[in-house]
Amino acid sequence: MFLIECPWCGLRDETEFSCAGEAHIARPLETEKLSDEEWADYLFMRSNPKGAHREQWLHAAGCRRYFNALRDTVTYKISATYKIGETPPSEGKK
Amino acid sequence: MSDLFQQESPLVQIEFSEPKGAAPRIEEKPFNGYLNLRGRSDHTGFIAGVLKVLGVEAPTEANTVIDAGDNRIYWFGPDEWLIVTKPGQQTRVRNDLLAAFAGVFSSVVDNSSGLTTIHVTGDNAAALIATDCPLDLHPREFKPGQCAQTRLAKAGMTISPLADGSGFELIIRRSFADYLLLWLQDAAIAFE
Ligand SMILES: [Zn+2]
Repeated sequence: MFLIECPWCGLRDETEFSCAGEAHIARPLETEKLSDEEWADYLFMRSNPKGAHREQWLHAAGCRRYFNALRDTVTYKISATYKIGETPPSEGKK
Repeated sequence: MSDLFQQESPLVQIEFSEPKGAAPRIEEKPFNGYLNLRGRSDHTGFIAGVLKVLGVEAPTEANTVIDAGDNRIYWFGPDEWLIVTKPGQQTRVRNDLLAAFAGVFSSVVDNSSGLTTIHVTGDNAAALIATDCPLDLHPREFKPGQCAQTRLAKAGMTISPLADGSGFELIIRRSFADYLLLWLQDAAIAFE
């Protein structure tokens, strides 16, 4: 059984969760002033690192809240989870 | 009331029989009212509105449920709760809440026809549910006063231990009710 820690509900089975892609991507202000390249970069381009990755996860079958997780894309180990709006643990800053 | 408006449980076609052997008892508690409540738990107007109508504050501790007179309030999220009322009380409670929340950022949605309640009781109640539920149901981890939204046989449900320790209350969606009851009755055969 693989457990993921929801910042609200605590440790729950992975089947209750779904991944929602890279975290901490801020929507640009004044999107009407962006070039097509800048808009496409915001919409589609992701860092896709090998190793530590900050991701959004959804506790889909539980409290249905989005939260952030720091996950290693090689080992799948999730070293921390934290609420939306909170600063990521220092380990994740690169 | 006219038969034309007779309420029908989503489990009307299910036969509930006496449990055999050590199988848990499975029964429906039909026709409760279910209100989905949303608002900001740190907003004084919201807290006051809930307090005025239900007599208590909405629980802010994750995955807890509290009794509020005839009603029960389940924590569903940091800004979301489920209020379960006695049958037929939901419209009055909803209208009272809407009146108390005048001008307050909130929502109260009547979902009474979308949900129903099942009780699973007996010595093997936890074992039966654990057949296909990832939650730790041991009384050391999951006590009366706690609740959890999780999955039973892949379908979403809200589960809480009954206050008397006899088993569990499951709140399930009507669209999954038939499937879940057939699944529970089938899984219970192993305990007969
Ligand atoms: Zn959660």
